Amino acid sequence: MRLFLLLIMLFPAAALAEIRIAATTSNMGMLASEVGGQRVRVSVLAPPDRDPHYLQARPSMIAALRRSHFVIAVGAGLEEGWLPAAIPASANPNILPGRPAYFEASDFTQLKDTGLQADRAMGDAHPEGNPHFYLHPEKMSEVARALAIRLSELWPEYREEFEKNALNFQDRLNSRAAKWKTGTELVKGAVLFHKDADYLMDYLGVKVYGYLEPLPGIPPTGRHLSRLIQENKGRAGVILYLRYQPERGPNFLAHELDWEAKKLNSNIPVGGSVEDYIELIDSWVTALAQQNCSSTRLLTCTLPQ
Amino acid sequence: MLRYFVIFALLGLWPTYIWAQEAQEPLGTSTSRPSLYDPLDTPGLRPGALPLARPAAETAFNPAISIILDGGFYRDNVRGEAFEIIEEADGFSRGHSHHGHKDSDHEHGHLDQGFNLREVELAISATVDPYFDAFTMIAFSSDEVELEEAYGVTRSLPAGLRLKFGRFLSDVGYINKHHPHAWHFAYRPLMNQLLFGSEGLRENGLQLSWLAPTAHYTRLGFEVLQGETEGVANYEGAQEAIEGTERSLRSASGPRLFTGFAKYAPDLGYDHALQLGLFGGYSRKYQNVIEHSTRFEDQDGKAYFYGADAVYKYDSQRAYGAGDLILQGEYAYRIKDLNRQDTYFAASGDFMPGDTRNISSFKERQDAFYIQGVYGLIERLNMGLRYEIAGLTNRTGRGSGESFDDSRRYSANLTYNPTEFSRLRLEFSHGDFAVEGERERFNQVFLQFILSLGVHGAHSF
Repeated sequence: MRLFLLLIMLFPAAALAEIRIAATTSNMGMLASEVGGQRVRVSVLAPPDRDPHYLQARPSMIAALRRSHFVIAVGAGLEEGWLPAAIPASANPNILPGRPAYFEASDFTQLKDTGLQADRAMGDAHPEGNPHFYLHPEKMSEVARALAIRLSELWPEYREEFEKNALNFQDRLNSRAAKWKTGTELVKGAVLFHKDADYLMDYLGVKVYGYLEPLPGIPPTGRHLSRLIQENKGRAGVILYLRYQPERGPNFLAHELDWEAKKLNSNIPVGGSVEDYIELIDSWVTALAQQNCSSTRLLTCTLPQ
Repeated sequence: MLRYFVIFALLGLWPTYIWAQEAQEPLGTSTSRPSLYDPLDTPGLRPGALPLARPAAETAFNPAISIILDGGFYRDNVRGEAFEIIEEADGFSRGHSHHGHKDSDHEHGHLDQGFNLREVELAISATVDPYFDAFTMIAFSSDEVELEEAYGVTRSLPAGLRLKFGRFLSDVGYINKHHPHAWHFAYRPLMNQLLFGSEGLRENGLQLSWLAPTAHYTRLGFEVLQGETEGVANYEGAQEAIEGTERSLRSASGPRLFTGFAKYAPDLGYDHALQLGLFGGYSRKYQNVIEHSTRFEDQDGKAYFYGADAVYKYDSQRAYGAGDLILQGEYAYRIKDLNRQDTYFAASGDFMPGDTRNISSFKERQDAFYIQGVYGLIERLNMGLRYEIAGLTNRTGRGSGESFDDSRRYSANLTYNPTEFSRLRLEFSHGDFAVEGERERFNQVFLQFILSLGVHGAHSF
């Protein structure tokens, strides 16, 4: 057993100077390349413009996992539709769940909505908690620190580098925090499509007035939309939805409430850096701040630089 | 008393001592910033605060269980005989009253006119220990319980190798290893049903596969199987002598069937996926008994098959499957190399029980293919079209030799997926089959439901 652990820990580093990391999403890929720095080469399994919940274990994912030394996943059930099939199929014992080279980011930050009733009558519920923590900058910093520790356990010779990188990442996000928070100070609330931006709304202190989905995983219904209209009539707000979510519901609601519906991304482009992540959060903050442009004309409609 | 107090006090001081040691040796980071580590821990033990509770969905040591209900309302225009017609397709039926299977008038996969519960699948999977995963699937239908699969598979073999053992669906072709609930059409493709069997190629045995460490997915494998599948490895064993005359069938111990497969999938980015496959197999024993009115016709020999499969999937950027496209096709060719000997069990003309006749050798050659497409019309609604031919090549050397016509089936369906866990399908099929030289045509309609309970199964490609 000791020999086995030794092999796991030493072999990848000794034989190859380069650590190959498979990341399930481009946000996780960004974390891996920020923390791993020049020591890692990252491949991203799920494209940023698709819902990572509804994918299949495609052969290209399996091929990437086969050659990986390390896997970083969001976890909390986000990838449950494909990762549990792809990892065993990759015939790579090092990255099996539970082994040190399998890193589930949601294990290292406090999730919202944990312990909800595991009842599918409530839609595609995740009793593990809401997995979409990746739009919360502080949670990303927490995960970056945990990732640095895990990578250092496996590749102790790069420990100082990983630690420095994780803290630099955290500093870079912290340096932007004030701008994000002042940018949304006067924002009242927003309607989301799915619970995928809950963490960001928490972080920015913006109230979520409701969701276009009546239940997670169920597309908007007429009855649900008319209830949303009733509840939000007369309020100021904005509707935020993701690139891959159908725009019919958001546009209808926007028209009825005389709000704006904004199409946004939840993941950075593949191969992006912390600057892309900052740009991503900026785009959400800008979209939120815009509701004040039309109604109050108090704020500038772009983020303060 | 004092002694205990001192011990507790020392225990309490210990972390402080450790912390003091740590504080003297900062972890290579600038001192103005906090360390990654909790100062009370020895380095590397835990990263900051952990969530208070582990996810509630983790079911500790319980296996993952899912149950799939598959049923619906079925009608055809041939008084419920459509499934019999399919099995009697020229070149593919194994004789009218073949051994052993004639007792059941409710063969697997047959639907009654009206309401049906086709089957209930119970799938159980778990990690056994650090070395093995295991999977079991049991299918319950109205009047039988069948062990679909029960296998172990290694977790820790090096170099991309995996060994699967037990009872499993072979990896030859594409559709063969998929369970009925994962098909995009209600019925098993003719290619799979008529060339292999009503359950596809499912055997007890071993499979060793190797995933190459290449950028493009490349997987090679071979299987050593018992050899019982009716289409390619039918096995009857030695038969009792009649009036002192030995029957030509001999027993042969397993393994009798050997298969191999190769799959290749170039990396075409996130929108497109293509997988190409080649496969083949050799059965060192293929036996068949056809019972005529006064004699058994024994066929004993070997069989081999080969084929190719291709799947292309387009993943649109739209939600709930709208705009997604799946194209899929498979072809297989089968040769049976048989020795025939008929043995009389009742007097007929000049022949007495125990007499033999028709001692000959011949080959049979059949092939089949299908091509199908499934397109996401709108959110949650798919349309599927399938075209199938069995017997483009359809020759037998039996008797004076014969060439049969082919049989075809055309299917179209609409599938509505309210969520990932439920599926409603309306499927029409038109069959145009060659049965004893005549064309037999039928129409089928099936309103099907598939409901999945339990764990969220992962979707393999």
